[in-house]
Amino acid sequence: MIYSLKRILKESMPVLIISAAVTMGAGIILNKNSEMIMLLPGIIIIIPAFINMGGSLMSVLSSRLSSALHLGFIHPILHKTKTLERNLFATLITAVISFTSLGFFAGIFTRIIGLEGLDILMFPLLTLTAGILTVLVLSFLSVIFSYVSFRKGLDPDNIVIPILTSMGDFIGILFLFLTLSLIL
Amino acid sequence: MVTRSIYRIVEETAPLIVFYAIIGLITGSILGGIVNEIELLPGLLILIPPLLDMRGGIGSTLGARLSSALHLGYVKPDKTTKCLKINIYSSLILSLFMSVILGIFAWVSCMLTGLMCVSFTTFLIISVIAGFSSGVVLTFVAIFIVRISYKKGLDPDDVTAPSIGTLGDMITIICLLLAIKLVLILGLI
Repeated sequence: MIYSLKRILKESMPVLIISAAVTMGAGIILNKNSEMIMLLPGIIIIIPAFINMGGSLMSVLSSRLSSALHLGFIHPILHKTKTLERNLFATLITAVISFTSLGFFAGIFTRIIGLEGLDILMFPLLTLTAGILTVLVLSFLSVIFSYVSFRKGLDPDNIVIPILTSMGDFIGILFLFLTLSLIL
Repeated sequence: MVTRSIYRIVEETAPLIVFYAIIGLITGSILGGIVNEIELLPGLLILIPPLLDMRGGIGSTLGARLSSALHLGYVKPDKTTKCLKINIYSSLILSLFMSVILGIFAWVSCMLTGLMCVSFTTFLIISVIAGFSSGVVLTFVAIFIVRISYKKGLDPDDVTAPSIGTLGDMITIICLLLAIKLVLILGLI
């Protein structure tokens, strides 16, 4: 049988520990902005969904890229191909749709539960701006990580997705609060 | 397939992501409801992203392994096999181990960045209670989801990872709330 307790623990721990260290960065930024969160508790309701969204978009993109690399639709040497372009463009369109609707629903949610938040139109503006910036940076990292791990003979599926989701937490929270301080 | 058109990719991904966003906002609303409790314990916000990320990481790999094991016949839809036990134990051990690590990391990060924070023991207690209890709940939720989706003829690979990610966030935030309440009631600050 391919599963043993020792093997599962040995393979999972390093990735989990690296992820913990990276997402602690997101925690530090969140903590540094605790005053803003206390003033505008409405902001906190988008945080779980916002970080999850960057992660979901990136795992979809990364697993498509790594399948394309495995199947040879993308060459392991970085140059423009139709498949790469199409995947990046699709990720961007999906991001625009998803982040706009997140902001739209967040506005409605804060009204329903009566939390002090942003103006109903400011929510989509915040999530869309911060979301697109996050996705642009992460897509770039995703392409680089996928190529590098593939060329080093590692399966991008096992490496890129967990690391990218953690970096997504960090970069996402960073851009969220940067955009917020610009808007306010 | 990998060479699908842009339209197909967007059409397949966007509705799901929007759906998770709505569930995520419910989790966020619970978090918004406990912001006042969190305020009582300075520095605690730092634990939220790593706790959510760890839960997703352990839960989704468990889900993925269980799905493969089902396909391979090591795990049966209605029997407890040795392979299932190994997976349960590993997920519980990882949850406990990582909760301790998160408590340590959180305290060290506060020290390094000079943020005001609760004591080392408080961090450790909250992280272990929230991390381990959510780990126990999510492990059994994961097994349930894998078994149900298999019985219903769905591929567990497609169903488990996203649903565990979204449910995991909610369970973790609720367990975090319980841990905070417990610490405040017992006066463990």
